[in-house]
Amino acid sequence: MQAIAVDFVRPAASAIDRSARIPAELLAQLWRAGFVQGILETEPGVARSRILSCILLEELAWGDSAVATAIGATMSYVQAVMDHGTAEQKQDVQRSFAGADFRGAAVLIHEPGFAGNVGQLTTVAEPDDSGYLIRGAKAYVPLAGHCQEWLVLARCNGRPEAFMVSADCPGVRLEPAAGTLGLKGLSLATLHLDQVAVARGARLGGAAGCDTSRLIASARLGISAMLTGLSRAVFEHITAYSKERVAHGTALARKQSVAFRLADMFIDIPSMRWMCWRGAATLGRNEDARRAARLAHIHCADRSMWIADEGVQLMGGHGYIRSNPVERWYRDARTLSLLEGLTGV
Amino acid sequence: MTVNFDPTDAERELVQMARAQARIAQRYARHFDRHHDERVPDELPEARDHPNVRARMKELMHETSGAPIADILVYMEEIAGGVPFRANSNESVFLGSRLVQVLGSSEQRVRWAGKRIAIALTEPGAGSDPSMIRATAVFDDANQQWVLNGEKIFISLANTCDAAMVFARFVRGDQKGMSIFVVEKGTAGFEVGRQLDKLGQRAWDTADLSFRNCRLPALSKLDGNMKDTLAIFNASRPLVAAIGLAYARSALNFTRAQLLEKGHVLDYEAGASGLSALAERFMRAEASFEAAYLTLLHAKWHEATRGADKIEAAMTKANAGVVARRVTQECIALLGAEGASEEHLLEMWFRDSRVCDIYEGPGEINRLIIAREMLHYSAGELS
Repeated sequence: MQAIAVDFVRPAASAIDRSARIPAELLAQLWRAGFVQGILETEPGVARSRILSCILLEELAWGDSAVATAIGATMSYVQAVMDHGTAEQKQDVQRSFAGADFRGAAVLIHEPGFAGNVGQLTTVAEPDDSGYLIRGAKAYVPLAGHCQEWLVLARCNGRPEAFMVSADCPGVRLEPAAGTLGLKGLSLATLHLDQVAVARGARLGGAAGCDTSRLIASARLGISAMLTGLSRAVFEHITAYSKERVAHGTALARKQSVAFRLADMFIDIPSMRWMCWRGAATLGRNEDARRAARLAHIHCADRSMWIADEGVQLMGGHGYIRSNPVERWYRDARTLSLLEGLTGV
Repeated sequence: MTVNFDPTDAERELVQMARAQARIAQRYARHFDRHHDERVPDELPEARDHPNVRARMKELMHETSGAPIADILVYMEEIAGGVPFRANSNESVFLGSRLVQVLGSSEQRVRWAGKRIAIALTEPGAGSDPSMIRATAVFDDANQQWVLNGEKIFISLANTCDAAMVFARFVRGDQKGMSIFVVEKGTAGFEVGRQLDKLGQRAWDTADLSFRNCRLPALSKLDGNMKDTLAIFNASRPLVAAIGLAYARSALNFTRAQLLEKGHVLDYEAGASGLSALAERFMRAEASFEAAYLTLLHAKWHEATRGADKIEAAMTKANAGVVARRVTQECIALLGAEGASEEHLLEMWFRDSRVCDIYEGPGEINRLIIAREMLHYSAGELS
């Protein structure tokens, strides 16, 4: 995992950001590594550890947040179906995601508009004779061209539910991306759902439905794990620079105001990881993980933004130049830390 | 390998016992906060009918995640009581006793076995930098005795202890250096000052010590180097982190109850825009506490599985020190002026917690320790 992040993801990160495109070869290569398929290979009663998902996302995001989100989005979709799906839905996913080619998918929670609230969905699914009619819109839809299917969170009979919607359903329209501050490689688009008809079997969990708070908790933990990896990237980069750069006779790192900030990052990063792991362990035991996930997300969002911010600051003018990665991490940190969907553990 | 952050059943039982006793002890907290010169009795009146948590811990030890973890879980509950239910049932606070067992000769270990020995390091002109210590011990060849002179300040357990472990410069013939000396209570010239009048932790036994021409047997000097001696802080810093986090947790629990009582909703599923500003601020405080708590548990897990570690200890101390300050400050702010009333213990936790980022190495010292190790700098290169 680490080797892939070091050898393939990190070297591609700058070009991915500039071209707003993740090369298909890279996605294919990551697919072959089996991160997604690992979730499918469950023996009865033995699920893949959520903590392993945290570790994978942290390592990938150390390489690049957009790439990590691309893989994490599909991971979250597959995980959600394996967790909450009916026997039939699980078999479908096991069949369609076991192939050799990259297959994009995502859990769509966010909606367009300022100050959105994941707890107050405006997308609605109305039951009808053959299934459901879905109307509304979802924001931050990754890899528009690559995605075959989504889990769309929508209000149904007053409570949130998740529906499997595929890209070829009539009434599905993807609005091309306006571009985003960070995570540019994902070409984040908006999905419009205009009375999209889905079958009864498209509701995750069938007639019983599913507890979407678990999908949100999983998503928050996925984002938190990625923020941990991004923070580690900044920390390692800025530590090396601070030891090399000399000002007023000594290396930057020999000055307390710099060394103490680095020490704080050194303290924060493991604590971010433990917060993710505890939430993931709680989720994995099928216990209520809402609080653990929310607090992990608050902590990781707060600390990663601070770390990326200080990363830019400590490099001075170099931190503002795009040939250095810290300005990208700064943009990615702000964008990623506001997401509460897309990836999951 | 499974990753587990939850207490075992045995740890749960111990925590419940300690919590019940702390709830009783808390009734006395305000009294001793107002009367700092009164000593808390060895046993609170109610203690007689209650089982001894530490004794039970020994019985259950094999069902815990190891002594360092069980100890810290119970200690955090005990601290929340504000005053000890049974004074000194927690032997781990007597760091000097531990140092004798680690560094002492067999003769020294026997002589001071079971004695409660406090650490006396800080002086009016020497705190975080032990090289500034001025206390001196000169060897008197004729009588085969050490003659100790010096002043020590802010000494924890000054009254309670049976002996003090004094850091001093020594001179013996042409040998010189820094060492530690065990000075028993009752030694002529050894005096304990009045209880210090402090911002908080007023029930905590703290006083200054003076040593005037104290004649000590040759045996009193421990032959440890300063590096090994200071390694004791690898075990004590997490204890102080635990104290600060115990206050922070008490403050959060109290504040949560008041906010809910007032009708505020703490919805952990909602995003930031679905929360009141108070609820969001409260959750931020909680998140910082939880992160510091997991850092403490990790340091203790490290101690249980691989031994106490300097960097882990400094990390948890630096983190908890600042979290204890900020969380208690924020809790009062969240509750408004009523939060500062002496009607409640919140204002006491605010004062009590403040010292946790000062004693056993302030945040600055712990960050220096971390930064030097992380950046591979000597003390000379980063000071």
